[in-house]
Amino acid sequence: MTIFTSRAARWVTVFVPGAFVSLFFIYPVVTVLGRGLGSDGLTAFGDLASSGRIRDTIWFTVWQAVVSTLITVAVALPAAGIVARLSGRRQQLVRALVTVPFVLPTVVVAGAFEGLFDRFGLDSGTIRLRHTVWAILLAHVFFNYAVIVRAVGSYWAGLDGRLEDQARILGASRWRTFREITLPRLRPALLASSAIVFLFSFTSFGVVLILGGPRRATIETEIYRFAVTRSDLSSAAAMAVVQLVAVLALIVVTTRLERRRPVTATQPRRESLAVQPLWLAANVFVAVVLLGAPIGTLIERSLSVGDRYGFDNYRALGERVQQLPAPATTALWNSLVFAVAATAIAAGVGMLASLVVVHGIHWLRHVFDLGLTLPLGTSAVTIGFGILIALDEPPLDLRTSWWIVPIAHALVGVPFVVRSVVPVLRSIDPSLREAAAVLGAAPGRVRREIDVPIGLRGLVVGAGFAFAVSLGEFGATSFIPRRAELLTAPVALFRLLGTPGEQLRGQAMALAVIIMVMVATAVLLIESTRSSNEGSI
Amino acid sequence: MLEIQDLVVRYGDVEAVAGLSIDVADDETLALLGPSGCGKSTLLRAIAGLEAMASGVVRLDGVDLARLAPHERGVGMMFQQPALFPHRDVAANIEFGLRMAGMEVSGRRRRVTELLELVGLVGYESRDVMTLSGGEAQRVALARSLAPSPSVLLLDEPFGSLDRALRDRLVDELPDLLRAAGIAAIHVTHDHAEAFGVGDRVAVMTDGKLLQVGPAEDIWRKPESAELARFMGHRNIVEREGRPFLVLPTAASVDAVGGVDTKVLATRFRDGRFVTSVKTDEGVLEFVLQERLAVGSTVKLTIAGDAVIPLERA
Repeated sequence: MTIFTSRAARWVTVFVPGAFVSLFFIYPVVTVLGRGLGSDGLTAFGDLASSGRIRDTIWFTVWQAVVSTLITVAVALPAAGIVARLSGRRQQLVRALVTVPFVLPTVVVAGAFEGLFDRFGLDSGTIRLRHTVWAILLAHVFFNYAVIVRAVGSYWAGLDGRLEDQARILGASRWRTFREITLPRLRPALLASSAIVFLFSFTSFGVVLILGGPRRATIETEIYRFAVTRSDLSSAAAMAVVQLVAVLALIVVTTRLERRRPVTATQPRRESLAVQPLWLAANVFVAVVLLGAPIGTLIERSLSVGDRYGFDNYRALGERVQQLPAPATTALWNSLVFAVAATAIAAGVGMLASLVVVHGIHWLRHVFDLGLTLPLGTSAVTIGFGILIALDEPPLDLRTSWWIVPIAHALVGVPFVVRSVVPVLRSIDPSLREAAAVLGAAPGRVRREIDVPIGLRGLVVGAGFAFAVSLGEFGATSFIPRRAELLTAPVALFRLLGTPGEQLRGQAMALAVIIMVMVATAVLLIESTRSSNEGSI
Repeated sequence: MLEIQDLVVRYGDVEAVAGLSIDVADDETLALLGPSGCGKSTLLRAIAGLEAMASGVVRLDGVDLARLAPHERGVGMMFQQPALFPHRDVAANIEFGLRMAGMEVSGRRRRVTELLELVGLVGYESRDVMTLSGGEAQRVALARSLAPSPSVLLLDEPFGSLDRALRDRLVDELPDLLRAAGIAAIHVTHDHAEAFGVGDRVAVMTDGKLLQVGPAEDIWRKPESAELARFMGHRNIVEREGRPFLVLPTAASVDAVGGVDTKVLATRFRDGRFVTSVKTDEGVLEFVLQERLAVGSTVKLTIAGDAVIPLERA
């Protein structure tokens, strides 16, 4: 009997996450591939290729991603150096602060930049940023600043500062020392994090769609415009195939770079060369303007009513407007409920999957590890599009089901859960499991007594991220049918932003602020539990 | 009684344990002494079922362990690190094995109190294990492995991570604790003092085999081979008629009348006596003497005949 139950438990552990990912991720993606590589798709592909549209789109996608990455590195690298020299508490605070923009929903950020352009008259006139490539680049730097500051900063903090001291004593200038001693040692972290920034910029959707205006197109926005605006599913599928191939190649490169990255030294950095006050001030200024201005303006705009300030825009969110199938407050409530459901699904599936990744038989581990990280790399748009065209007929017609939203969101959230839980499970000292076994715990019991309770710590962090991601998810959700009970806050915000008019603009800003506060709260809570956990383990 | 016959454990082509046999009686502690990498930890892990045996027999109280999983063997094991469950308090750690055995709550609580008393940590039940000192953590680990009353306790360098003073204290206490609990034990260590301190018998292991087994004084005074003598820290190994001999460091006494002339090279004070290096015809030898000799002087030393031990060549 015990053998039966443990076998059944093992079967559930493998089957539940396996079925979830197969049904809601692999099957839709394969459907997209089939559609894109089928005769209709190939014809569409030929048409797109001969008109030069594919070439232009790919070129712009790559170009803006390269430039976004270069600017981000140039702006964030000095800041990473400063963060590396801060003491523990301050470093933690700065890391948490710069992370807030990174986790903000794309639609909110796009809204914030629109508000910024509005406020400072940059939407027309001599310096026009609205609907230009500069708007896209700025927003990408805004988002990814944290990636470089955090990854390179913590790596930098682990480097032995005495080498720099030695170089200075031997007569190298500050700049020389940086170029010849520091930069080469930062290379692994810098390459790995740049690759991630490139990937994010490459698959960026909401920012390009809203800030780029109707004329700028990346592969992501093309999939959306073909599928949703023009109902040309064949062309959308052809574009999605291009995107899948490109992203897969990028992931291979990124994981290679990550693997080459050596373990960060744990010795505390001993820095005797203080930061020059002017240099510090310049970096603080850049960070405050770059990260603070859009957020600050967003809040200011949300409170601005004509020529005075008030909460009218917030109050108006409760009223039904023509552009939305339900009031914005309903969308906010929907988003919260969806986020709770999506988090529950992602946590359950992710926990089981993590157990398989860490303890499964050899080949199964690799399959799960890869299969559960893929949704993270695959663009949300591809996932949304896949679900739209794959799960549209009985027995699995999800388009009319309420569950389509939490399932799509959970799919995006599962990799976050797995990536938080697996390292915790892997870090469990094997002698804990051995001690439990010697004390009389059968293998299944060891999982329940040791892995699950300890893994829960990672699960809290992962689930928190899944929750935040669900609250702000836009890419996949934008493909979901427009019905009142499926309206999420980011989609409502997108609609409001897309409609001209002073009053709706004000409401959009108010809605963006509310989403921002919800997401930021969730993320700051995670950060605080994470740091207190690190303190005790 | 634990019986091990011709046990072999392989890692790939390497025989970590190479056909080893030994018995451990019910109330006996066997100290297993050997350099790192000699296979002593592997031996323990094989007995616990954490490593697969390639061949041989391991019997505990007459039961063949070969086909039993670790959780079915009823052996206790203590690791080099305390390996306490970080998500459970002290009491929950100690009662883990009892819970696995299906003991009811009141019985568990009684046993936990009993064991905390035994290891000298009364009142520690609800302490968070992350707040324990190294010594306290290792005591809790000991209590945890003793709780289910295993027939044999395997200790894998349990004091390896502790500082010297703490280790000495636990080495003093452990034999009494094990005797009080009436448990057979194999205590693995690479430290002679620890092995001599805890073991009723000492077994010396190198390259997966036992070199010699016996009471501490026999292992130290009558090592069978030069290799073993060197491993025990002996330095006075000399050649006589093409054969190695061990001159025990306690063998010499200063004698104004008889004895041989030796030159004093160095002397240092240790444990109340003087460890003195002298130059003899057979090379430099080291003796433990009661008095300080002037460095550079020449003295007459008598070496007791029964303190010169013939060794097997190795």
